[in-house]
Order: sequence, then structure tokens, then C-alpha cells
Amino acid sequence: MPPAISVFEQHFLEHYAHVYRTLYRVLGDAQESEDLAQEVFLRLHDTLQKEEVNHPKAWLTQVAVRTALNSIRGRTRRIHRHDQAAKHTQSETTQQTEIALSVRKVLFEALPDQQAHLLMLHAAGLLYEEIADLLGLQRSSMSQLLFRAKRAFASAYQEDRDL
Amino acid sequence: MHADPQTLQAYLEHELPSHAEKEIEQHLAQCEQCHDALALLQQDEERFHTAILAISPREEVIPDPHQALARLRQHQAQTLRQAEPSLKTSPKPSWFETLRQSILWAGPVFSAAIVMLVLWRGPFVTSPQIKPQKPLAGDRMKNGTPFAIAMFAHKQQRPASSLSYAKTQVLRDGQQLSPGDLLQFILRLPHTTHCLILSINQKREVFVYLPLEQERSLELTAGEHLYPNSNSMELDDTLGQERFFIFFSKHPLPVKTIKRRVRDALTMHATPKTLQPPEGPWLVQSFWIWKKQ
Repeated sequence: MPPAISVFEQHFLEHYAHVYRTLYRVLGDAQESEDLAQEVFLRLHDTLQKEEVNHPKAWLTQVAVRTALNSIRGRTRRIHRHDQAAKHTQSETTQQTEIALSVRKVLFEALPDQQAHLLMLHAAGLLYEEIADLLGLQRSSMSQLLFRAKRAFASAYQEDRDL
Repeated sequence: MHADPQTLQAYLEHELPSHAEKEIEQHLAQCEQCHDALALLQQDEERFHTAILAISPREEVIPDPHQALARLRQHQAQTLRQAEPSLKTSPKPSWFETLRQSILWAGPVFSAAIVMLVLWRGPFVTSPQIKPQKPLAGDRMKNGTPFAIAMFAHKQQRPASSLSYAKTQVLRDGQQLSPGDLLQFILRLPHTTHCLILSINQKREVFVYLPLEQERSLELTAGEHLYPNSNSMELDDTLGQERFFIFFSKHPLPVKTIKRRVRDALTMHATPKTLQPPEGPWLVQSFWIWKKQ
């Protein structure tokens, strides 16, 4: 009999890239994203010991976004982090790095946490219903919040690019 | 009366019910103000997606999940050893120990992954990358798993009109095809199953192959089905990558919702080649083709 693959391993192999992508968007740092991806999956492992996780992708995305936002909130010298991030993406052009820095600056420094959180869940490809469910909101109020968050991002980003 | 910005946003994201979508379209055709408002929203929307792409990692930097899993197992083993004083292991293992642990964990993980692939593939599958989705609890398919074989014939050849595969070939992942080439699917179903086949191209256009002009997936009885059974589907002129998804479900699937989910999923992926199927209470088989002249 071949060894059976556990539910946890199945979730890991299926969603690892998605979790990594979600973390990287917030952090911009390859090594940190890898470390935190491991942390997120260890939490899933612990949770699965106690209960069933019905929507693993949505669950993992929510934990990944929270973990990443907590991680950057825990830093006092964010500029330093951005410098580090730039070193990790040396293969990209200076222009690409500049754009990425500006996007992160607007998303995670100019916007309130709730809006950044919503936008990251939306960017991860979760559906309106899934996001509303995760945040315990009515679908209509969630779509209103998301709408405002997108507008806030668009105008702040435009301002930042114009400077 | 003008459309409010939130309704326009919902229209942009294909979140409106079809009757409301039609009403908006009619209104947009005659109202310049709303038309301009929509254009602005669209511009913001594009800006947002471009921004997200700018902060997403390049696909090649994402660590291999199998190796990441091996590292996690190694970390768990170390934590366990540290928590068990009777084992008396040193807190930091030597490079030899690290290597040994990696091999110990990597072996079963890789073989388990390969076993999983072999188990799911069956003897005639279309692609080595077919990725079944775990159905939700209570909706698990019983007595075997349905699967599809995609067949193709070049445009000069007539497609098989019955279950004779003489002129068709089994499609492989990344298959190069041309506009006008013909496609057929063999669906093997261990029990009555709702089926839906669609594709998405690089322009984010979604085409539904099965069912045709219906709002819900087609219910097919147990057994082998050739689809379409008397002719074939012809590939259109849009060149580039195109990904096909074959959905199997115990319950009817709303075509519009599935289309929207597939389209939404592509938003965050660079190409149809890397696109993952949407998650839900269904099984999905998936493969991509490369359309060239």
C-alpha cells in the first residue's frame, strides 16, 4: 500500500504558492515570506488537529494577510524594510522596484488597516461572498467597503505617482 | 436617472444579476455621463490590478511546495525533539543531521505526491498536471471519480463522429494547436454527474463548451459520453495560451457564477498557463493549450 497523503499535506501542496504570493505582496521580502508561509501552515496544522477547515484557501488567505500586516506593523523602521525588499528584487528593473515600493507605501502606510486588509483579500482572488463571510459582514456592506477602499487606493496612488 | 457608482462597479466586476446588467447596458448606451463615470472606474480598476501585479512575486521565485513541505516537516521534527528531553538531542543539528532529515522527509513526501498524481490520473488523462479539487464535506463523489479525456484533430481532418478515435489524438498539457482545429471530449462518469466545460484565453474571454446556451451545467448519466457526439468544437482565432476547465459536480452548477469565478481567478495570475481552478464543491480537471498560427 502506498503511504496516504494527509489532508494537511494536500492543503499545503495545493495552496502553498497562493499563501506565499499573498504574503509577498504585503512584505516584498522573499525570505520573510517563506518564513511566514511556514508559520501560517503550522497554524493550519494545529487547527486541523482540533477542527475541520471547510474552506482552506479562504482560511489560509485570511491568516496570511493578518500575519503579514502584523509583521509590518511590528516594525518601526519601515523605510529600512523597503530598502531590504529592494535588495531582494535585484533582478527587476529599477522602475519596477520603484512602482512596487510606491504601491506598498500607499496600501500599507496611507490606507487604514481595514482597507488594506480588504484589498489584499480581494487581490488574492477571493469572492465577495467569501470575504464577507471571513469578516463577518453582510455582502452588501462588504461590497460598499471594498468599493470605498478601491477608490481610496486609486486616488492615493495617483497622488503618490504625481509627486 | 443615473446609475450610482457602486452599481457601475458591480457591473464592471460582473456581479450584477443578468436583468440588471441588461438595464445598465441600455442606460450606458444613451447616457454620456454614466458612460464617462464607468470609464473612470475602469481606469481605476486597471490601475489597481496593475498595482497588485507590481507587488506580486515573479512565478519563478516562489519556492517549490514539496521542498517547503520538507522544511516544515524538518522544523516540526526539531521542535518535537526539543520538547522531549529524554531524546537528549543537541538543539542545533549538525549539517549531516539536517541533510539526513531533509532526505528522510523529502522521500516520503515526493513519493506520496507522485502516488497522488498517479492515483488521480487514471490511464487516459489529458495532462500530467490534472489537479483534482477536494470536494466539500458531504459532497464527496462516491464509487470512483469522474474524469475527462480531451481529444483533438487538426482542421484538415474530420473528427470522429462516434467513439472511434482513429483520426483524433489525446491532448497533452501545453499542446500547440491552431485556429480551426477541432476538439472533442470523452467524459467517463461512474455515476450521474453535472458537467461544465469552459476555457479562458489571454484576453480573459471565457467560452462555455458544455452546456450550450443553458444557465446550468448539463446532467449526464453514468457511463462514457463523447461530447459533442455528432460534430466537434472549433477553436477560434484568438492566439496565445488558453486554459480549459472541466467541472464535475453532484449538484447543478450555475454557468454564470462559474464563468465569473474563472475570470476573477485569472485577474491575479499572469497567464492562463499558471491559472489554478476555482475552489468549491466540485472536482475540476484542467489543462492548457497554446494556440499558434
